[in-house]
Amino acid sequence: MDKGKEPIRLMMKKEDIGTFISENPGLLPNEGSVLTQESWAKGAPRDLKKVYGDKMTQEAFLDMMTTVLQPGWYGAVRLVGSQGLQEAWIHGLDAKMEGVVLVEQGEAGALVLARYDRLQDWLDPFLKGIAAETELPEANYLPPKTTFEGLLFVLHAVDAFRRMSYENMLKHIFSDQPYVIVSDFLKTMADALKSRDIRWLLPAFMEVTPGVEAYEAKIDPEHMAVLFEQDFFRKGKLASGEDVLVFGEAGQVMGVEFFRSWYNSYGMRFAVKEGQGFVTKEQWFIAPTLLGNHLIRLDKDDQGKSYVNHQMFTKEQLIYMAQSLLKNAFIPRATKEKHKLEPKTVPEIEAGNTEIRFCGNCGAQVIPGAAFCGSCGNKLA
Amino acid sequence: MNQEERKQLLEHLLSLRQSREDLLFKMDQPFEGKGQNPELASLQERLEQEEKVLKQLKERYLENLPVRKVSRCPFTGNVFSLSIDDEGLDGPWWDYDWPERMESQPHDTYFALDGALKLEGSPEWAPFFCSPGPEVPFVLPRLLKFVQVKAVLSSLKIGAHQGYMMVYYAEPMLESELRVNDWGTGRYWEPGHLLPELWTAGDYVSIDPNPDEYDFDLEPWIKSGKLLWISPEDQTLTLHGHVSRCPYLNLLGKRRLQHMQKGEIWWDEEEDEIQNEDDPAFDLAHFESVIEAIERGEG
Repeated sequence: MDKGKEPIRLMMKKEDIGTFISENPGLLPNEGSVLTQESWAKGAPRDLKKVYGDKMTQEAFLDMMTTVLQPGWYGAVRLVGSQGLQEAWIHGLDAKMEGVVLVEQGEAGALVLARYDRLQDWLDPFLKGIAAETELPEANYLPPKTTFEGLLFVLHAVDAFRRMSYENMLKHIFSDQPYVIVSDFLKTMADALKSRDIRWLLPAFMEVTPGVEAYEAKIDPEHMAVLFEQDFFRKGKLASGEDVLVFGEAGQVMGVEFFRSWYNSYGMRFAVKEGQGFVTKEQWFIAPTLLGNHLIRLDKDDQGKSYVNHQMFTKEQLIYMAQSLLKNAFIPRATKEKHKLEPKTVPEIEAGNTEIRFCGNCGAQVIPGAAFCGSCGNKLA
Repeated sequence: MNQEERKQLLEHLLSLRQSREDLLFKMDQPFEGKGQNPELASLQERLEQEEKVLKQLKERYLENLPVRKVSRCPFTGNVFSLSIDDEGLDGPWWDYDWPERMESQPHDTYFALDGALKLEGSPEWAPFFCSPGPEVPFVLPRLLKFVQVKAVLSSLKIGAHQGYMMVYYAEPMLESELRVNDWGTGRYWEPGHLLPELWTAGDYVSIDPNPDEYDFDLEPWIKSGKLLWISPEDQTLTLHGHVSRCPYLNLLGKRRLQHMQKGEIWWDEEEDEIQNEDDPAFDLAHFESVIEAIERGEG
């Protein structure tokens, strides 16, 4: 960020939000505001002027609060690394993407609000900070388009390679034909999805990508086809006759890459106000490694089928692409139709609508839409 | 349109094209009285009539060309479709100098279309000059050196022959760089720019093909993520970024430009029987694998 473009920052206690809103009834939060969360709005009323001084009545502060409480668009940002899972929200009023306000969790129940002149004043340094320093292009073993379900299998294949590598290390085993037993692969996938353990790629993707719960995660072996098509796996058999999945070129290269050099993940979802509600325009998962920056965009086609666009970008490309996608996302619909540039949008689905099911045999919670129980293998109705 | 109808249409269309050329040549000769000359006026009238019919025939030819899904953008995943004469090399789609092709509006990331073709049997007889590239696919390092450019290699049958298409995509679009002539032609369309400070109109640009800049060693380009491929006859157009099982590696065939006209085939220049390391077409990886095999006692 250029010097002189430092954001204006303000720290505010969560419990004061409710008081502020009650003192400014014209600023009731809309559903795009992070401050709609009820727990943040509660708190014993305090004399805000006494606590925050004249700031509360200054125009700059009121502008910030207006942006946060009644945004025209917002972005939910999740980060996972050594600090665990963190979340921040960025709000803006309109397609100009100016005067944006980032809201982060501060210490001791405080919120930190930071106002940036332009979205890119926050976004560019953020991406520069997280992106891997790579300049050379690398192979993309999962080119677009792939189904959402296919992606889940690929992410678990990478995890399976990591798991096998750790196990082999512990047992001092060297293998030039790494493999995983089919039934183990499927069972550990179901376990991984349930685990929410962000040290593994598949659960990290599910936890870090905001709004991903709106996508149906089916562990149906028919979606494994992508693993063979893209040479993550080849079919094999042990001497005992047991079916195994032997890691192919893509499985080995990406497996080693994530085994050796993946530490952090980042998820973003940007939604724009259209009519009475907010419509998701962009949804990303970013995983930097030593080889490059994996960008996974979630989308739905005209028939409502979920798919992903996975790219392997250099740092420079990642920043360009993020800017470009957001610029396009914020173009008003009417303008895009005129220029025939309208991207496919992902309709928002209430997370609460996701059906929770349990296995009739063992009682374990199962993934909505799963054909088999990930815990005991029972065929589900 | 069935094959017989296509044959009749092509005969009519191509003979009229020749007739038009002949008329223009005659009209270019000196005539007494110029505009008042009755012979010239008669030729002019005949030209106008023939051009009218020719226009209708061209339209019929283009309308009947199939639109094939041939490639997929590696950035957006969008399918790239092309109106192409894949019945044989005798349609004017393949006319190097005066190709008849549908004006298309490719998607935002399309950059260039190149190709190669391996003849299976004799080429179809056509009066025009046809130059469908070398026999094996290749890439242009000149274009792939740009970070935002990738190529996708796919294949399709052109009659009995095996065609290979190399479609280049750019995201963001690459400006101010010469592209490459459209497959089988001597020109490509350079789109105009609509910048506030500089408006330029689109125009056809012609480049002299230079086989010396072709790189036939595709494996390093796939490994570096710059070249992706689609399996032959894969209707889903699934992109692949892995080298393993790639059907386009180490294909046999001539690596020089092949040309044909009126049933005759000739080559830019014959390859040396013995390759040397200074030859850009020299396949070092293959050479090394042969040496290694010999050293292992397998050669």
